[in-house]
Amino acid sequence: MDSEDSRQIRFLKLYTANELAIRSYVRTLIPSRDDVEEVMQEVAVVLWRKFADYPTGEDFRKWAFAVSRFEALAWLRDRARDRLVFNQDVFDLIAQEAESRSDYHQRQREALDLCLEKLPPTQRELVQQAYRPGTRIDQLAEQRGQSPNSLYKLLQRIRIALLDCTRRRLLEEGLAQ
Amino acid sequence: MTSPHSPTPSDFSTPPAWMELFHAYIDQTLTSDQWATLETVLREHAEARRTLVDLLALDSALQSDHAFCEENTTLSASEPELDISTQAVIALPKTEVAVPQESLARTSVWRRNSTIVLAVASLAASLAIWLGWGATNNTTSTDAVWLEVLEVNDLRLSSALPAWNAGERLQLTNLKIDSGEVDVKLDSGVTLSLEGPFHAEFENSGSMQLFHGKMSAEVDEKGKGFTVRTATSEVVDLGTRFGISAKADGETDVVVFEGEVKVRRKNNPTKPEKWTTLKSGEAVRVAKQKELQRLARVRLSKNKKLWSSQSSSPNSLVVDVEDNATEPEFLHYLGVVPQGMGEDSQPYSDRPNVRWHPVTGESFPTELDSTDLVRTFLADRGDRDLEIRLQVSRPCIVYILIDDRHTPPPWLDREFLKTDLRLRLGPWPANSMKDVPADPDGRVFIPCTVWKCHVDRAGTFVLGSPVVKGSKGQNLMYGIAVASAEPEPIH
Repeated sequence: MDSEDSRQIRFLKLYTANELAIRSYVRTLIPSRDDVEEVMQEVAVVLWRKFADYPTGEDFRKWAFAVSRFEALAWLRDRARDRLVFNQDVFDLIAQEAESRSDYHQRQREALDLCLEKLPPTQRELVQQAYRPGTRIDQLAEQRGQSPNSLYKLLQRIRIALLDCTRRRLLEEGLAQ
Repeated sequence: MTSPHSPTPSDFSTPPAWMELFHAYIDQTLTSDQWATLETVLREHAEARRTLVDLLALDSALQSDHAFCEENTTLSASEPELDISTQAVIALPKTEVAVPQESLARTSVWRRNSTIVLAVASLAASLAIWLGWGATNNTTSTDAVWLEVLEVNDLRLSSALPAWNAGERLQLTNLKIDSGEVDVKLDSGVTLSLEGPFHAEFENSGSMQLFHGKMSAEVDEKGKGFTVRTATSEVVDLGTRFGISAKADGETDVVVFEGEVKVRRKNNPTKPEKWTTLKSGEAVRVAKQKELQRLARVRLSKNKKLWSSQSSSPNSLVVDVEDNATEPEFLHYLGVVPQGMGEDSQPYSDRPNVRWHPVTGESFPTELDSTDLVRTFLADRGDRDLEIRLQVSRPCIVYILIDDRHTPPPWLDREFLKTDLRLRLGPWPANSMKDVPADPDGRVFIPCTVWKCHVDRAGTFVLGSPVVKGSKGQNLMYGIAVASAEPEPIH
């Protein structure tokens, strides 16, 4: 295998191993979850383009976060005219917080599996529907015969329950917040 | 990452006003004033930043894990279900949701890992293609959907990755097309023709979620059961060629070109509706909170699998065609195929194997070749009250091609001129037409005469029933072709 193939495989391994963490980090920087995929595509391409400059032995996740932060900021600046975005100082604070909690969020994802299983089936189904790509809450609310506002509130309560559940589980495992 | 103190569960409470802001931020419902308040809170309180990024990370995890596996799972007795009514961070009235008992009894297992594998495999496959890797590279999961690119036409994908080329084999879950067309074949034997803008997610090689866009599918025996889900409907193939399009608001059109599909609405996620079977030549529109609605006209392309239920372009000769059928169970569509008339063209939307043929020993009449074809349906042959309204955009010649064995209906005799042109229509099964002998291969072809009428201006032209009062025997439904009476406009 020549060095180019080796580099490609190394990149794919590193990227796939860290993809969820990168996606989670990008999500904390982009206001709408519907836009995350678009930013992630940019991030993936830029990471590969810059991979030749990635110093061997350096923390890939940390390096990827730096690239993601830059790409997210550029993406938000492009759209600052037609939507609300955080001021630079708040953006930096959020990015810093998200990076410092990356390990915690990885454990949070693992705990989420168990917490989701503890949700009543109807609420699990609701979460499934609400988070399916392309789902619009107003349409889902209409299908369920309730107002969008009441559905938003219901989903908020489920999110709080899940957040609380994951925090308790991690606390029980000795992982403080 | 450890904080200076280890909180007890009671420490999890966050000021309700903050949580309200966080949820509004996540749900994208913040007002400008709330936005300013949120920024202040985040600027001043580390706890607020921590809770918000935790919520956003949770949101991301939920989005990555949207697939459920409907399997039974058992919670241990010591692990009660989460009760969101006890989550008093925000005091809200409890929302009542009516759910049938059978749905309550069903449990689901969260299936993150396989979804992650699919997502990762999709990216890896995209990168592999982008990097010029062959299909033999073994670094991707075999769980994602493999497909072979058959044909590409001005394709632009909604990503930074290069467009595909015919002959490539790749693996993906999510597909977004900005513009252009592509034909792909799945390993399940399903061939799909996709037209941008288009967005879908492959759940496996036998099912997909169509968010918006238009496609047609050709499903062989191996691929039977291929399922397409949209926001409002579920379509299951029973071995066929069919088309489906979905708008962002969920409105879904389903057209069967050949074979059968079954379709049902998904208005109530907890109470599936009954299936409706659609056969060749039938088409419906599925919309929220409405009964299935007949699509009376479908525009088709001559050589491609493209189709449309929308109005014609301004330059179309046949602007529209409709009939006077009102029965709710009648779901046949009239097909408009620009320049679609010719040897082996299909006259009826409900009989895909019956075709126009030249008379034995002759070639197809030049006058009719490449004129616009309007597909009628054989089911109309006995409708004495039938009216077909043909709307044309400019002067034209309307041709009616009709069974030569019987008396022409009065409206045809009165308004049309019988030409010397002749065609054959078939094949029909042997012995299906007692007065027409089968050919040596056991097939029956019906002789047809061609009638024509000059239409001198744009407008609507009404055609009548093929049935003649008092005549014996069963006429066939007539065929329709339309030719421009003036040179094609130059664009």
